[in-house]
Amino acid sequence: MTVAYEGSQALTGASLELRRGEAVLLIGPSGCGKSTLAMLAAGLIPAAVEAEVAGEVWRSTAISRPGGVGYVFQDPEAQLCQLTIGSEVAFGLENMRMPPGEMPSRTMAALREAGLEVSPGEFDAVLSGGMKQRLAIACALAQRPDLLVLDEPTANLDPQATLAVFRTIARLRAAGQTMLVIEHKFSDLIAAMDRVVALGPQGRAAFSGPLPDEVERRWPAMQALGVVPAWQTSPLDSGRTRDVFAVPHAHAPAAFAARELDYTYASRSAQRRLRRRGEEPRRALRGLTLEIPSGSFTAIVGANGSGKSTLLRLLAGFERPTGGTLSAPTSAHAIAFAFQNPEHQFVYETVAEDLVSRYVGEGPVPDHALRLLAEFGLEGHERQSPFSLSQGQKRRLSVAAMLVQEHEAYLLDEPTFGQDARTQEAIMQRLQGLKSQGRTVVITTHDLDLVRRYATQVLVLKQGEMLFCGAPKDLFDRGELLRRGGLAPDATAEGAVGGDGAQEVPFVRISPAQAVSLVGRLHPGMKLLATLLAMGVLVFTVNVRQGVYLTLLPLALLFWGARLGLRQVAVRMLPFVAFFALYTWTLTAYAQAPPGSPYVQFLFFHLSLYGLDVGLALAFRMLATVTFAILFVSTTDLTDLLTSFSQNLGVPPKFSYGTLAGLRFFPLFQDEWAKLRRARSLRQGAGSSRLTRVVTYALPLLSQAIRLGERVAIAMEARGFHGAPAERADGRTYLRPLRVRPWDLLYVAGIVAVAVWLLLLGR
Amino acid sequence: MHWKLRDIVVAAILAVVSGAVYLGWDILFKFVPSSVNPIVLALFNGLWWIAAGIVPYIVRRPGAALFAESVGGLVEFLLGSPYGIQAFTIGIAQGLGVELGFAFGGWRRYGWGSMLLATALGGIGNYVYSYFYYGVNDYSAALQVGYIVASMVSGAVLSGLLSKLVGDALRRTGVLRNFPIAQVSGHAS
Repeated sequence: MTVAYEGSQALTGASLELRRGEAVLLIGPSGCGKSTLAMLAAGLIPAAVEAEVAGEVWRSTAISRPGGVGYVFQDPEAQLCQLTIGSEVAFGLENMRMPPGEMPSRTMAALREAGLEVSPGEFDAVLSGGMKQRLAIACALAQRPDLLVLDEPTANLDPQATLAVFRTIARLRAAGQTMLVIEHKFSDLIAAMDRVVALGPQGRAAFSGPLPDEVERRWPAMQALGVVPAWQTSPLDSGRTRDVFAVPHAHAPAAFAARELDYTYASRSAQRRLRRRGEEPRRALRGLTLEIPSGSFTAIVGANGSGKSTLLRLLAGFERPTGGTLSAPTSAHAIAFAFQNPEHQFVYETVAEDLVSRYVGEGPVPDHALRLLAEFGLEGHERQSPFSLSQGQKRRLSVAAMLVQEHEAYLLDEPTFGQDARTQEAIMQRLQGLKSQGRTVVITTHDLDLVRRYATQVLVLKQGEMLFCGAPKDLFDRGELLRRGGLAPDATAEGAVGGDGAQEVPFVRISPAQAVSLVGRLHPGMKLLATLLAMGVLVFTVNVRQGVYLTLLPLALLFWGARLGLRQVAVRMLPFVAFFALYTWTLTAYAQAPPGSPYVQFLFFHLSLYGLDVGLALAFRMLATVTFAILFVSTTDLTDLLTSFSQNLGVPPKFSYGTLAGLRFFPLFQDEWAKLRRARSLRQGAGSSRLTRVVTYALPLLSQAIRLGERVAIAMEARGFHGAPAERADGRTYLRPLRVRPWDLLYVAGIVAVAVWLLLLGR
Repeated sequence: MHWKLRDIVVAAILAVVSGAVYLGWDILFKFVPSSVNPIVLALFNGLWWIAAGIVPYIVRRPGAALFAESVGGLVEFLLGSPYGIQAFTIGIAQGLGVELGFAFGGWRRYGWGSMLLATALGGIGNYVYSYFYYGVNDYSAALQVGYIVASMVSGAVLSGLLSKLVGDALRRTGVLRNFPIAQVSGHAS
C-alpha cells in the first residue's frame, strides 16, 4: 500500500496480512504509518479519512459488514461521543439498527467483557482515563466485531491503568478475538500476542515473526529503529544489564527543602466551611519532608493522582503550601518549568519567536536561536506556527525554550510522556548535560527505566504522602515498595473511579427523581415548545402582579410536577433572584422618573418609586422566563432533546449526534482553561499587546478543540456512523424511542391556557 | 457543499465555546446601567453572534451560520443565561440574518467584504427580534435607525472582524488542514 495525505507521504509499499483468530502486535517509530496501515485494514481510509491510496486491500466479507471492525483510538477524550455509559455503548448498536430492546443486555455483556464494573446510567465524565479506554473497548465489543483494532490504547494512561487494559486484551485473546494492536509500551503485552510486525520509516517492512522469540532476538534492532529508548532493558532480559544506575552525587547543599509540607486545592473559604463542620479538606500533599540537593537529578514517581505534579508546581512557586515550610531558589529566572502539555506554553505565532520570547516578524532570527533549533532538530521550522509541529517537535521546542536562558533549577512535568524513543533520548541527553553542569533537574515520570538510568534521587508519592526518598538503587531493591506505590504490576488493583481527576458532569444533571416525575416523562421537544410559547405570553406582561403570577406557575410545577425539594429549587433560583434584585436596584436608583413623581435623594442615588415599579415589573418578567427555563432544564435529558430532533422532526442524525458530541467537550474546556492560566502565569509579560494576548490565549484552546473534534468525528464513523445511520433519521434505531403522546399535547395546551389566564387575572 | 461529520462536530464545539462567551457577555451587559443611550448599548450586540461568523468562515457550508448560532444560543440558555430561553430564540434570529448575508454570495465568498457584510446583517436579525421582544418598537424612528446601524457596525467588528482574525490565526496553526477554509485558501502559510 502507498498512502499520501495532502501530498505528504505516509506509507510507501507497505504490506500487512492478518489471519482470522490471530493477535498481531504492530510496532514502529512515531510517524512510520502504523495508524495509517491499521485504518486501511479497518476501511476507515479512505471512507472517513481522506487520502490518496494506491495498492490493494482485501477484506473478508465478515469484517466488511456493519460493525465488522471495532476500532479503539489512543485518546480517551477523543473517541466518546455521548454523555452516559449506556448510550455510549448503544451508539454503535443504533448504527447497526439493533432493536432497542436488545441493547441493554448486549451493553451489560460488553461492559463485563471489557472488565468495567459500572452502571450504564452513569455519566462517562466520572470515569478515569483508563476506564474510559475500557469503555471504548466495550463499545467496540458490543458490536461483536470480527476484527478489533487497538491503536495505542494506553498512550495516555499510567502504568496501573495500562496494565488493566492489557489484562482485558489478554482475556479477549484467550476468547479467540482477532486483534491488531499498536502499542509502544508493549513489554507486558508480549505474552498475549501471537506475532509482531515491525515497520520502518514510511511503513516499509522491518521484521516480523512469532512472539515472544522475535522480541528477544531483535532487541538491538528495535533500539536502532527507535521503537524502544536506549535505556530500556528487554522485558525478557534476565537482569544482567538492569543494574546500571546513575552515579549518586556527593553531598551538596539543598536547592529545595520542604518540612511538613501540606497542600489542599480547597479555597480558603471552602477550608473554613469544612472546618466548621468538623471536617478536614482533602489534602493533595500531606506532611512531606524532603530535600532536593543542588546538582541532583531528582525523579518524582507515583500513580496518577498521587500528587507528583502538585509537588512540582509547589517547588516552582506556582502554588503556595497550605501548611509547613518550603525553601526554593528565589533569584529572578532561578527556575525553568516545562508543562506536561507543551502547547500551554506557546505564546507567540512562530517557533523562533516562542524560543526567544519576543516578536521577530519578518526580521532575522537570532543566531543563538538558530543554533538551538538545529540542535533540537527543528531547523527549517523557525517561521512555522508552534502548534503546527508534531508532538515530538513541540516537546523539543518547549525544552529548547528552557535552555535559552540559564537557570539554577529545571523542573519538567512528565517530559517524555507520549514521546517516541528518539525524542525521549534527545531530551534526556540535554537534561543529563544540565546536571553535569551542576544544575538541579527535577522531573515527574512514570518511566522506571528512565529513573534507573538517570536519576540520582527518587521520591515516591502515594495519595499525597511520601513512601520513599533516596537513591534509586535502594528503591529497586524493595519490590513491595514499588507495588505499594503503584509503580509495579499489582494483580489486585483495577484502577479506581475518578483516579486521574475526573471531570465535572456536563451541564445540569437530571436526577432519577426528576426523570420519572410528571414533567420529566413528557416529550422533550413538546416541553421546549411549551417553554417557547410561555415565553411568548410573557412578552405581554406589563405590571408586577402579572410577573409574580407567571413566576408562580413554573415554580409550582417545579415542586409538584418535577418533584424538586424546597432546597433544590432555592439553590437553582437564588443566583437569578440576587441578579434581578440588583437589576431592580439599578432601575430604582437611575430610572428617569417622570416629573412630579415622588423620589428620595439618598447619598447620590435618585431613588424613585416609579423606578422601583418599572424595575420589579421587568425583573419578575425575566424571573418568570428563567423559572420556565429552570423547569425545562431540570427535567429534560439533553440526549433525549437532541435525538428527538431526529426521531420526531426528521433532522439527519449527523446533526443531532454531532452536536451532542460537541457539547460533551464543555467540561474539558474548563479544565484546559485552568491549565492554560497556570502556564501563562509563568510567562507573564510575554505577548506584547493586549489584543495579541487575547488571540494567543484563544489559539491553544481552539486548536486543541478542533483537533479533538476531528478525532471524535473519525471515531464516530469508525463505529458505523456513516451512510444511512448518519444521514437518515429512519436509517438507525434509537436506544430511547420518543413519541409524542396525547398528554404531551395536553401539557402544551395547558401551559398556554393557564399562562394566558394568569396574564388576564393580573391585569 | 455537503456537510461532513467533522464539520458538524467542530461547528458544535466552536458554538459551545461561543455559548460560554455569550453567558459572560450577558452578565457583563446586565451591569451596564439601562439609562445609557440605546444606540450606545447596541454597540455591544455584535459579540452575541460571533459563532455565526467564525463557524461559517471555517466550515463554509450552507446553514453554518444558522446552525452555529442556534447551538450557541442553546448552550447559553442551558448554562443558565439570565435571558432564559430568549438566549436561544434570539440566536436563531441573529443566525438567520448572517445566513442571509452568506446566501448572497452563494455560500462561496468568505473574503473581507463578505464576512463584514454577512455579520453586519446579523444586526438586522437582532433588530427584528428586539423589535418584538425587547421593547425596540417603543423607540422613536430615528432611534430605531441608530439602533440598527450600531448593531450592524458592532456585528461587523465584534463578529466579522474578530472571526476572520481568529480563523486566519487558526489556519496558520495547521489544525484546519482538513476543513474547507484551508482547502480554498491554499496551505497554511
